[in-house]
Amino acid sequence: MTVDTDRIPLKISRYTEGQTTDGYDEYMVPYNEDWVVLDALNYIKDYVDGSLAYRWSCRMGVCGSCGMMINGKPKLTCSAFLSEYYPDPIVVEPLANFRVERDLIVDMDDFIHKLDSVKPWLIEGDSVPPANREYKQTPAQLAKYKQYSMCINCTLCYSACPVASNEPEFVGPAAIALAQRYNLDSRDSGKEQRLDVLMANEGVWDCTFVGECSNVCPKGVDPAAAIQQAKLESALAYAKSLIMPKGNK
Amino acid sequence: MRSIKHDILIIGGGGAGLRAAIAVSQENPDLDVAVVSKVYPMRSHTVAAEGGMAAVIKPNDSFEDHIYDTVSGSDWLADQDAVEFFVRTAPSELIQLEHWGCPWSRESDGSVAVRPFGGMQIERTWFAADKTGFHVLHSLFQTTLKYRSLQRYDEWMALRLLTHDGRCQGVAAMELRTGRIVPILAKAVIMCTGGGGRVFPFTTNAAIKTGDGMALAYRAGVALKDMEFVQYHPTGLPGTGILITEAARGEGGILVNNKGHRYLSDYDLGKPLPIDHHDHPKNRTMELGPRDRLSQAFIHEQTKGNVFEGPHGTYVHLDVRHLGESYIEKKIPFVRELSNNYGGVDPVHEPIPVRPVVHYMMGGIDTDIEAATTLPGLYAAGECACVSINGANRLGSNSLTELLVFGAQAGRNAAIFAQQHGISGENDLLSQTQDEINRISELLGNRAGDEKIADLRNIMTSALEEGAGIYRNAEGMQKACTTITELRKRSKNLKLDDTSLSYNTELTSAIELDFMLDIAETVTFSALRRKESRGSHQRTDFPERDDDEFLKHSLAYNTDDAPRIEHKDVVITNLPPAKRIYGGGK
Amino acid sequence: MTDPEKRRPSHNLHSNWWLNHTRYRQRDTRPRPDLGATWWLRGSSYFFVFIRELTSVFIALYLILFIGLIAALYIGAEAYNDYMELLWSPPLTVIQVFTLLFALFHTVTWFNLTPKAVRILKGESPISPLFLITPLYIVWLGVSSIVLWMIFS
Ligand SMILES: Cc1cc2nc3c(=O)[nH]c(=O)nc-3n(C[C@H](O)[C@H](O)[C@H](O)COP(=O)(O)OP(=O)(O)OC[C@H]3O[C@@H](n4cnc5c(N)ncnc54)[C@H](O)[C@@H]3O)c2cc1C
Ligand code: SF4
Ligand code: FES
Repeated sequence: MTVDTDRIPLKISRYTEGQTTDGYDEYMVPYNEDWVVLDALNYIKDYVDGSLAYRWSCRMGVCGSCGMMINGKPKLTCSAFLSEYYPDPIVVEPLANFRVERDLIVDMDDFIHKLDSVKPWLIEGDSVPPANREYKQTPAQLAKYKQYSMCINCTLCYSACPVASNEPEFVGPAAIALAQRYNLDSRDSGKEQRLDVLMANEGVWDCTFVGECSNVCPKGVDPAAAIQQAKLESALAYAKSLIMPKGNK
Repeated sequence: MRSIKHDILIIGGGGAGLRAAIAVSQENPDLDVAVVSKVYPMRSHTVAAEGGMAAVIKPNDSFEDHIYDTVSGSDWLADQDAVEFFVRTAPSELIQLEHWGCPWSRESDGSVAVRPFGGMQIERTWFAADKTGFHVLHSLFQTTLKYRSLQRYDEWMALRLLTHDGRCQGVAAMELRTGRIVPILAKAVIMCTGGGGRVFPFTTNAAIKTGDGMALAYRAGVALKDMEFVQYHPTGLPGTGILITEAARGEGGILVNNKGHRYLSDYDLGKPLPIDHHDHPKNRTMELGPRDRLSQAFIHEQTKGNVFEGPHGTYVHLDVRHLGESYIEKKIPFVRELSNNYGGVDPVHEPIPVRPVVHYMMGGIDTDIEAATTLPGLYAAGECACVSINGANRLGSNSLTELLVFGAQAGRNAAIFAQQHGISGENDLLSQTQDEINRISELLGNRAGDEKIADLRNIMTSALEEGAGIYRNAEGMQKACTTITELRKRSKNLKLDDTSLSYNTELTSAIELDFMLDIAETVTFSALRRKESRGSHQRTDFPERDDDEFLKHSLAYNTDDAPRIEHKDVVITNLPPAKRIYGGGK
Repeated sequence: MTDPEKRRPSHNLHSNWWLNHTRYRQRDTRPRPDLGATWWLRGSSYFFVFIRELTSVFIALYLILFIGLIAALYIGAEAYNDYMELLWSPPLTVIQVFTLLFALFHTVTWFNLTPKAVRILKGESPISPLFLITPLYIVWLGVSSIVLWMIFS
């Protein structure tokens, strides 16, 4: 492929069910300074090859559907500007550590199942306010979990994680961050129930603190921190259960 | 062919759909509920809503005020019984959401915080920084996970409603993963598919907002109501159309033209207070006027040559610099993130370039206050429905609340309906599905076609922008109608590059284009028939509001030819039509 | 209302189980590109972690030596002296110096990561990480000086 001053090459991984070889297609796309990689994909789909399949929706970094590997790094394609790469070619591949369904689309079932497994909903305790009144929660109490509530479920963190790469069962960064989001919420009383999942074999102790999940997270969630905090808590809970074996909760 | 059966089927997993799903389980936990969504629920466009959600909660506020603001904001086209129900139910719905874990921003005493919003005389907009919709949607989605009576069909696309015996009894849907089309039958169906802003070229709406549900209902014989009313939001980023929330103005941001003048003061929106005045921003005044009026003001400024010119068209400045970095980070961090990424400016140091952008469809599936449509067994809620509480112009932050209030209403009523009815005429329902399978196979296998989806879509969107933009006239609208009719024919001749079954996103785009043409058709034809100016429907050839002739909803019915337009009276209870006054006084 | 959680039995609640056949196919032939065995070469941050993990090999080696030391001590003075001599042999000295360096590296990286695991807020914003890291260094230096004092006095 030759480098053209106002065009940029995209090398895109293709797959349809049953295909056994790795396939890539190359496209030349007009270079536009304020285009993101997603714009380039849309250009290809609209004007060059309608069969290219990928997910996207909001194009403003909030729906979490457009994650792909760009030059080997997990990124939201709607926030990755061509100008970061131009004039070098851009390689676009499906998110790593997931089963590929089609071209750039990966199977999300497993991730959704993991999210579900940590019981990510508010588990009520004894002091529920009446139906016409809100819980009181000070800005400081909100600040405790706010960061972990910012996850858009884009799963970039799973693609960056060597543990998820080797151990597909690992509950993983986003799900653990979400568990912590509820554990730290002053309105919630479900911490013990969630600890069961977090302490299990595929839970927090699988993590070797690589920290790359937090580096690639586009929303500053810092799932790595959530995992370490959950480790601390699960260690404390374990110690407690040793001291008080009958464990009144 | 095997069918799937559920008691209740919800199409759409956005705010309205998820709220409806929970409402069914709350009403009767034994009913089994299916939620079909063409994207994973947390990708639904509710996720992009930024500013907040209105409900009366503070002691200085009252239901009457919220009702008045909504009705006057609607230019009196809202049904007042519905507005009243909406306003009175809103607080309990928002509190319910709080009990489900929504991380609302708080006052220092721990109660929920509220902020001012356009067209509201009192601050009553609940918010979670400036990612309200995101938090609302994720809280709802996560809450639904605990209801195991709920079966999700993620990445399934509804193609056609199945009716028998005069009742809606399911949908033919395609599993995107495999491409197979399956009848999903149910005793009651709730449509929650959101809006259709993508019929316009420049919009805040996500790619999935193609008006599918509206088109499905329309094809099943239900009228689409008030489709001519399309809201332009005054502050979108040029080029991408990404929204800069009204909260930026609610927190004190100002709009200035290329002369450095706060031009809104020239358009009957009150006197500007200095930015350091303790009363700034003043409710229902200047920057906190309603969206229709602000977007119209921009067009006048453009005509006067008072706007900036950029590579992506004209714009004015939204200036929030005086709020200071820490306040911006605390209250509107997403505005900063979006402006930085997509506008190329840091609002802490520079004003944000903005221009009006298509944002919301006031119109939609004709429903009543019970969220029921005229087709028994079919309910609708959310942006795809038109109750109507939004009339000719929606107030910012009423929509998210509407999702909850009417989503829950639809869920409850559908639950009751499902307990009284069964599924009948299964063979008929299956044969309708077979028809749909044939239709899609034909589209997929059409090797003779020569039209490209993108071309037709581009022609459609520019026709709408030119014919049904902020200011309209008979000639322009007529032209748009003709173009759409022509595109209808050409769309029969599409050719797809992709012939595979798994995630054939080209096929889904073609189906969406077909839905959008229905929406485009109802917008233009309804607009042509409304010979007055009201709210977001402004005609240069009929510049005045005409209550004698047009204090009426438009109803567009599907026919083999152009849509048939009928009219229906607006429900007026306590607030007789009056002039809309902003900028001081009522 | 019944507690929704009581209603979380199984996925087979519905008559639509047959739909799942594509989801749970027995032999999944779809590709799953992962980070591969050379994931640690994918960039400096991965590499850094890899080195950090690698340090534990040296620490483990040293522990073996240390266990040997205790065993020698148990056996008697002569064995202990012989063992000490062995430890002073050039190759083992090199290993121990490396171990010391790696242990220092490990300590520093872990100390610096502490604020991740312990997040303390003051009002709405996290306290400066220095508040958490500094005490660790102080304690470390304190304990080390006591040990050094015991050895050299
Ligand atoms: C950028 C932006 C900001 C906004 N900010 C605010 C705000 O601050 N306050 C406010 O009150 N309102 C706001 N709004 C408006 C409000 O967000 C929307 O009106 C509302 O979220 C619509 O919700 P919904 O549930 O009706 O539809 P959506 O959230 O759009 O969901 C539609 C659902 O239907 C599904 N669906 C669609 N078609 C099909 C099909 N054929 N088959 C199967 N499933 C289908 C989709 O998958 C999706 O799950 C904003 C809108 C935008 C665009
Ligand atoms: S934690 Fe960050 S990277 Fe991981 S899914 Fe959430 S937003 Fe994406
Ligand atoms: S398209 Fe929604 S996050 Fe990129």
